[in-house]
Amino acid sequence: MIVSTEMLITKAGPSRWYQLDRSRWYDAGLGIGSVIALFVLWAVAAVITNHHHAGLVPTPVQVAKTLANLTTHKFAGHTLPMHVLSSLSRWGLGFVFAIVLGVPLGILFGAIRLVREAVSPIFEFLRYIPPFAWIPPAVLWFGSGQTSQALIVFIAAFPAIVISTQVGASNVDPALLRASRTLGAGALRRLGEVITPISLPGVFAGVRVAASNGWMALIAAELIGGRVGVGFLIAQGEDNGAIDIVMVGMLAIAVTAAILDLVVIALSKRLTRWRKSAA
Amino acid sequence: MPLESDIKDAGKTGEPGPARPPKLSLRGVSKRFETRRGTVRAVDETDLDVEEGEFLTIVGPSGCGKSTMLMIASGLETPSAGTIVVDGKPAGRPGPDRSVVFQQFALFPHMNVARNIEYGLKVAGVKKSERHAAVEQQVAIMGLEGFQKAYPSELSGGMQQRVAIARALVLQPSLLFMDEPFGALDAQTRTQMQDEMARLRTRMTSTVLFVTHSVEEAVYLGTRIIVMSARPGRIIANLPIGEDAPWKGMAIEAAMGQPQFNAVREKVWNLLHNKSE
Repeated sequence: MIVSTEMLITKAGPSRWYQLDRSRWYDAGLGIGSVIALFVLWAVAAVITNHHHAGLVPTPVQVAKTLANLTTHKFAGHTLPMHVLSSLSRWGLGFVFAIVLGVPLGILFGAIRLVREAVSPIFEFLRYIPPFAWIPPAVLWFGSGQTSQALIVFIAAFPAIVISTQVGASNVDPALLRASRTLGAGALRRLGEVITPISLPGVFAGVRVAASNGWMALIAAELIGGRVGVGFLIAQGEDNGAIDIVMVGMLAIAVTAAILDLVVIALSKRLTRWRKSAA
Repeated sequence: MPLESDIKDAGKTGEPGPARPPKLSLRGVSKRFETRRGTVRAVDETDLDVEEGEFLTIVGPSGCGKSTMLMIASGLETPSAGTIVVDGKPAGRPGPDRSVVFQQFALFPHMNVARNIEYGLKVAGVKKSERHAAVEQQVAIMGLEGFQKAYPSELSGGMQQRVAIARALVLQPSLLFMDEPFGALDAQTRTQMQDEMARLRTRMTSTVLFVTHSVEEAVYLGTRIIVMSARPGRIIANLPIGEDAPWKGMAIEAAMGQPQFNAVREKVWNLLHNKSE
């Protein structure tokens, strides 16, 4: 594309590559430094507590060895990667349903006052029931398998998506709706081609929160009544008094959540590239 | 050069043919807003006929209801009373035959320049190849070459308004409503756009209603000027200028050095400020 720079408004932020690079390295260095500090603190804590009460806090090295072992050897019926994948599949099922139902509902809430007035009291009432409170009825209705755990993920993820999408949709500049009317667009086109894409930054803000809400609720559900999954692995570790296995499970939960978050952020940046300052 | 009296009559010099309904007619149009402090009368009992091919500029003090009147004419707002008639028939919903250019551009932020301009054609179901040809033509007319893939947020105000004008003109609307289109631009860009608008006018077939609070802009661009009073907005003067005013074809800076231009400008200014001539 041929663009004469003087006709483009200068974008905010660093303008030279080395400035961008320097601040990136600086930020990365800070982050890596604090993670290293955490591991050092952990190691010190492990050494001190082991001095008084052996086996209460495993050292980072012990946990690393257990991690390597669990990657290839089965515990609680599966290897660690299989437990993670199994959790992810149920998370994915509930999460996809939350998006497929939550985004359209949020758009309708934001765009059509009548829908909001009619449905939001029910929604507001239900969303104050914590996802964990749904575990007993879900297990009673669907058993303690795949379905009930995916349902818990859905319940944990759904409200964040609906609320964030609604905020995004209701913030669409009314002038754009008027413009689309004068260009001949009907209500459906306005919803699909104007309101929905412009709401995407709001949708993604909700999706990000929903992804981690759903993941955490799933682990809780697995801890209580699972047969497989990272939560189940932790519960089994606890039953065996193997604190190193519990900690490996906790690390796997955190790392998986961080990766999911990065995926959502990358997707969000890709789909909302038109924004002035893509966050 | 024509005298001032010629200028006045110039708008009425159409050959008398079979009675044709005006392109656009406002009949007894009023608009009231209910606020906590009572009823606000934005537009009061207004009648207005606009003939095909006119470039009608509407000038008035801020808040006089001139934009409201334009929005009613475009179908985006419904009048509290009165009717809008287009080509002798009651006007319905807003649509591509009554395009609007807004002061705040109102470009779709998620579409690049080409897709913004194309949108109305896409809605109308125009074939892709025809769409692209029409967009490219409009891009060339509005001086937007090289910017087709840029997003609105990457463009200056003047460029954004060019895109908005292109988006309206590509539909070849028989009526074009412009609501203070250059009001949000800096002085230099504004002058440039006024010159371009005058140039565009010569190759455009649309009937234009152009709202502004700049007297110079109204006199420079209009073939007829409507002067409105402060709220409640009423039409207080109707000044035909015609196509052949001596400053037509000049740049606005040059036009402002014309005695005839300044005579009309002074007249409008006095009308706006309630002074007798």
